[in-house]
Amino acid sequence: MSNDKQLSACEFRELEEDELIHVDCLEHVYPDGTSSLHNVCFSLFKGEIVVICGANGAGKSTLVEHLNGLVKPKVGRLVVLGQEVTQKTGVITEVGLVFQDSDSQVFAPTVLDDVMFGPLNKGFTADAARLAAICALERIGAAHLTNRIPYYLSRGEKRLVAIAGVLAMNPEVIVADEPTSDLDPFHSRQIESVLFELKTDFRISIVIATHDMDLAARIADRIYVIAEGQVIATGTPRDIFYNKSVLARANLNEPTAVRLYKRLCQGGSASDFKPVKEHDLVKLLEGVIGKAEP
Amino acid sequence: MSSDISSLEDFMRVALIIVACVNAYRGCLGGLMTNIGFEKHLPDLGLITHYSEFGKSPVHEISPWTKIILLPVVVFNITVIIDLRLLLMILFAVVCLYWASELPIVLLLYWWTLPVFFVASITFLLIWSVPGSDLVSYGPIHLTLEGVALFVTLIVKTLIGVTYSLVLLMTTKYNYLTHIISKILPYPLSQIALLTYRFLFLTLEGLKSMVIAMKSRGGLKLSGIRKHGKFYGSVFALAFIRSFDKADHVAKAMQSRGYQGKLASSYYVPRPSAGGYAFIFVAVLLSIFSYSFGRYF
Repeated sequence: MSNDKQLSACEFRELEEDELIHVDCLEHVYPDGTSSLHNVCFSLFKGEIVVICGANGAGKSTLVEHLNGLVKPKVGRLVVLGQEVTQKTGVITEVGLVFQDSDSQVFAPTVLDDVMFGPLNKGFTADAARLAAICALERIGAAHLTNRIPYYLSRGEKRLVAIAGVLAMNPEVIVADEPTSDLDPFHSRQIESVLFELKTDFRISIVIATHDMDLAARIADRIYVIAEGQVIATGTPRDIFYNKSVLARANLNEPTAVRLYKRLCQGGSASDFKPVKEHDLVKLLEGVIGKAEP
Repeated sequence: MSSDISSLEDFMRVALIIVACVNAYRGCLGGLMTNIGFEKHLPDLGLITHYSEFGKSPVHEISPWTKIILLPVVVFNITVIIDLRLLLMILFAVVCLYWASELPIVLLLYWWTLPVFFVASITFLLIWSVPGSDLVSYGPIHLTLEGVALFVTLIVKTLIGVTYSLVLLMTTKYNYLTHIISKILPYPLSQIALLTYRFLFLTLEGLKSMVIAMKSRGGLKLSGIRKHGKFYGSVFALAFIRSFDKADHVAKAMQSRGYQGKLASSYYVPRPSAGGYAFIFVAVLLSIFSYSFGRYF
């Protein structure tokens, strides 16, 4: 696990093989002079799910908006799919961005039109764009929404449509900003499984910015913890979620499974296996109960 | 003395008319908006989109080009024709078109309220100075038959414009409009028009939720024209300011999906049929005829 010591002297790193997004020493300052990102280094490799964890105002959304070149780096280096992003580079549409506010993202008169918007901008013909849109909606199990009007959709449905909108553009990477915030548990799980299936079934790399630690624990291959515009830790979910000081510094809670495990271990001997997901904890408890049974 | 009494009577009449008008405004508009809900008077965006995208009436089948070409014809008519009987006939024809489009007539009456309110609030001040045969007069204030006719004429013109615009918007798919506007307006005007049109929906949606939020906190229980005016003024101002923020988000979302300043449109928009051309021709002829001879009616 790396920590904040590396950030005091930020250096550009070598681009690694299979690295889809490479960020070095990224700085971002708001027009009023407030620094929102400072010396941020970030990597995304093919086929992985990376979760950026941080409290509100930590700089997650600003970082996310850099990842497809929507916001250009003024200081630092950003390489996306082998292409260095400069002030003159356009938005890289192979990296699809799903915004937190789906109301602003889904703006066309019908769901089909909205999902077709991206492919049409990429130069698809109307028929090809329609096909791409229908395929994208089917892929995420939202084909029933095709002819619906966005105004009448629920938040969860809008979020699905927003994901379909970027999926129709055949992205290599999908970046989702707070994908499950303000959703009910059902739609939250639905979005989570859609993102997971995109990784497993279609080998699309995913970046998720969230402060939902349970989601991060369930879905992440690697985690970046961000606080006050700086990456304060990176590592596997197990590395991060059993590091109390990192979570405290970032004003984040432990995932439910970790919290329960720690409570269960109080006063008793801890297992070598440290569960991160609820599923892991259940397995562990089943083992313990199995041993205890006569 | 008797002339004084008759002047006083005239004054009372004028005062009563003004009070009646104000009460009518309060009762019909203020009261209606308060009791039924302001949001019903704003066009329902989802419904407009629903009808435009999924409507199956004969008017939906008419070529979008025909409906668009008829728009300037309608605008010409409401600009130049001053004969009230002709205007009422046009209004009747446009309402019939609305009805033939299988659009909700009851909602049309709600949606008429705001434009009527807007026009009435301006023309109400004008009608007192129109020369003609007096109905009521007091000193320099005269309410003439011509003044009343002007009031009604302007209202009817507004209703024609609003109703035809609704017919156009509710029977034409957005993508067809996009295509046609991008053909007839030069860049970047076409893009501005298209984005304004689309963004209007988002702004109105925000406005609607703001009104509902204020209503839930008792904002609409205020009484009196001034308080109502202040309330709606602040709501519109807030919606305007918020729309900047919203525009920023929408622009980012569009850019991230490859938008580079030009809305892509590759739709085929059906050309007018022979009947469509004939209809346009007849409408243009009738407009010229009405303009030329209408003034002698």
